[in-house]
Amino acid sequence: MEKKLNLGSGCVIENVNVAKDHFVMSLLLTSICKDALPGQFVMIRKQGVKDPLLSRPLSLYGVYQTDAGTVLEFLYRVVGKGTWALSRLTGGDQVDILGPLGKPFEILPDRNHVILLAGGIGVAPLSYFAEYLAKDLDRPEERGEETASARKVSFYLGATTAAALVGIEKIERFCTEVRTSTDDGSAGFAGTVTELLQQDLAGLDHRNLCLYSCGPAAMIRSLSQLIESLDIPCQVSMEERMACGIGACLGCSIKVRDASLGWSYCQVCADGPVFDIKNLLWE
Amino acid sequence: MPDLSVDIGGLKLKNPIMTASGTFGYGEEYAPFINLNDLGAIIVKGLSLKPRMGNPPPRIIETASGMLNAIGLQNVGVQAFIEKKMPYLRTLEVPVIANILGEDPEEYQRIAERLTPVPGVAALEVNISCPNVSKGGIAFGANPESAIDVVRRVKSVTDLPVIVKLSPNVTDIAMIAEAVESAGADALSLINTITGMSVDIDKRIPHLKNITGGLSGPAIKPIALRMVWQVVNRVKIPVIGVGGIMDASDTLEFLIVGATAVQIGTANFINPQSTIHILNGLLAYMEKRHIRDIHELIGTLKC
Ligand SMILES: Cc1cc2nc3c(=O)[nH]c(=O)nc-3n(C[C@H](O)[C@H](O)[C@H](O)COP(=O)(O)OP(=O)(O)OC[C@H]3O[C@@H](n4cnc5c(N)ncnc54)[C@H](O)[C@@H]3O)c2cc1C
Ligand SMILES: Cc1cc2nc3c(=O)[nH]c(=O)nc-3n(C[C@H](O)[C@H](O)[C@H](O)COP(=O)(O)O)c2cc1C
Ligand code: FES
Repeated sequence: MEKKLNLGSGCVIENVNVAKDHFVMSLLLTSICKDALPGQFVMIRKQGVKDPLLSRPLSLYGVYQTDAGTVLEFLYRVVGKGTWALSRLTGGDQVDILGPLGKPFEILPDRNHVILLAGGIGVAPLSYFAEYLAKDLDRPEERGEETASARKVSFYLGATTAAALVGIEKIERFCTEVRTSTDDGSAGFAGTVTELLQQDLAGLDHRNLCLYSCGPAAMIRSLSQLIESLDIPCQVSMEERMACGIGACLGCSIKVRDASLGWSYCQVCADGPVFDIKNLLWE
Repeated sequence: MPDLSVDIGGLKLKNPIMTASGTFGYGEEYAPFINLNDLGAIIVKGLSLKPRMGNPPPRIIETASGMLNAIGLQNVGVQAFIEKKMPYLRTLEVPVIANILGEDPEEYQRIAERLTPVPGVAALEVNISCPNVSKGGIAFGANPESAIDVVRRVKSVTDLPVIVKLSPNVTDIAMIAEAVESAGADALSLINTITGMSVDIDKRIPHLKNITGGLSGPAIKPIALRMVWQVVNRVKIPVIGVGGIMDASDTLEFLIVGATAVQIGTANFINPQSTIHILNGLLAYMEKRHIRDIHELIGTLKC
């Protein structure tokens, strides 16, 4: 089976500092990523630059088709050398892109209330997903229609403090409901976003729910405890440091349940980054 | 077109560009990016007798001009390799070299036994950088006796060319190289990764869960080159240069110093087409200088 070549270059359109340490970068690509789906990611690096050595994984925050080509958007937080180098890019700069990579979020057609739960920068892939769902890109027959089966999409966004609640404007455009929390209580619910969800879950019909989440490991872990005994399907997008992005280096392993061995490692880049939360195991 | 073919201890390669074990999966991962048949050889991820889980994450961290890895030799095991990976690899027209590892000398011998009759396996590369569990965890490659023991056992059960991959984490690599040659190795490859460490100063913990890891990438190239140079001066068998090769000029340095072929490792992560870019660069260099045979380059260092 020949897989599609997904290596190409992109041209930076703009790279905007949207909040402290947070940037939204848009790229124009002419050859690849046309059909990139929510939950997928790319490996990105500035063209012709040897330092940083490795490309960095970034989730898709938006994918748009234009006459000039495919526009990709990324929302990223500067945490170290690689993301800092990305933040220095300006319009016209060239980047190398490997992607789209990984498994996308799986849409469950019979679950009409979608809850997206994001912690910090985990907002990036879920925002694209919200937009994708709002535009009914998965079901062209209902596009633009107000049908009885219309999906409800609730976005839960948590951060340490109000200033770190990034990306709200986009979410508000595409979601039926937006719920926020901050650890320090400076905006929204005072506490963690999983605590907020826990409160709300009591009043919801679980048979109609499906959950998607992305964020810090501690958040995913408390989410897995929260829904352990509940019958709600939940997919999470996981992160590990990556070198190749294509399942070759085995650098990005995480622990998962394995029917025959009890547990095993699998690759976030190739087997994920989206996993069923019930398959994850915690050290 | 210049003649790029080389002979590695009886194994004929159409060109000297091979992939380094552990950086190229089982080959198939790179099929979307390059024509695998253009390569000199494919060396697959290290194989143990039983599948290995590998180390807990985080397993990698970038460092200055390089990366540390502590994969812990996660692999599918020799049985699954034969059943699940070889059928694809056999469809290719490129020599497949199985990299093998063990916890004790017997394990190496048994893997070699299993792989030798498998159609499509062209040679064995013996990774002696692994800890010898039966001898307190000191790497086989760290002392001549245990290195000799492993090579003799492997040679005793196989008629495939045996390439022995040397560890740089030793005082005198040329001495180990001589020992391994005397034990019957058909070729040598060097270097494996150099043990290193990196610390998160906010959390005051090692960046790798395993604490230490193997350094690869451009940072190690001068060391690899020096070691290849030392070794080619002491052994008669062919030497394959590995370590930090990112482009054609890095490759040329190794060839000039005396390597008969090279392996491309970390560069595959940065660009999955690196091997082919390197091959094309090598051809362009030779054509520009009217070099008709790669042997006109190998071991031509003037000093
Ligand atoms: C599939 C995937 C999608 C991602 N999508 C996004 C995104 O859309 N936006 C975004 O801002 N970030 C995203 N990340 C995380 C991003 O890749 C890392 O923040 C980045 O690689 C850090 O590189 P650096 O050189 O700036 O930092 P480094 O200097 O490498 O690290 C700085 C700090 O961040 C931690 N870190 C580094 N890499 C990772 C990682 N992969 N996962 C978790 N912690 C890490 C390090 O341990 C360290 O504490 C994603 C990661 C993955 C695996
Ligand atoms: C992620 C990773 C995994 C590796 N796995 C193996 C392995 O299984 N067996 C082996 O002999 N060498 C292994 N190596 C070492 C490489 O084959 C090579 O010797 C080393 O990386 C130096 O070359 P480079 O700088 O070009 O990467 C691995 C290296 C890396 C980076
Ligand atoms: S990043 Fe290399 S296997 Fe996932």
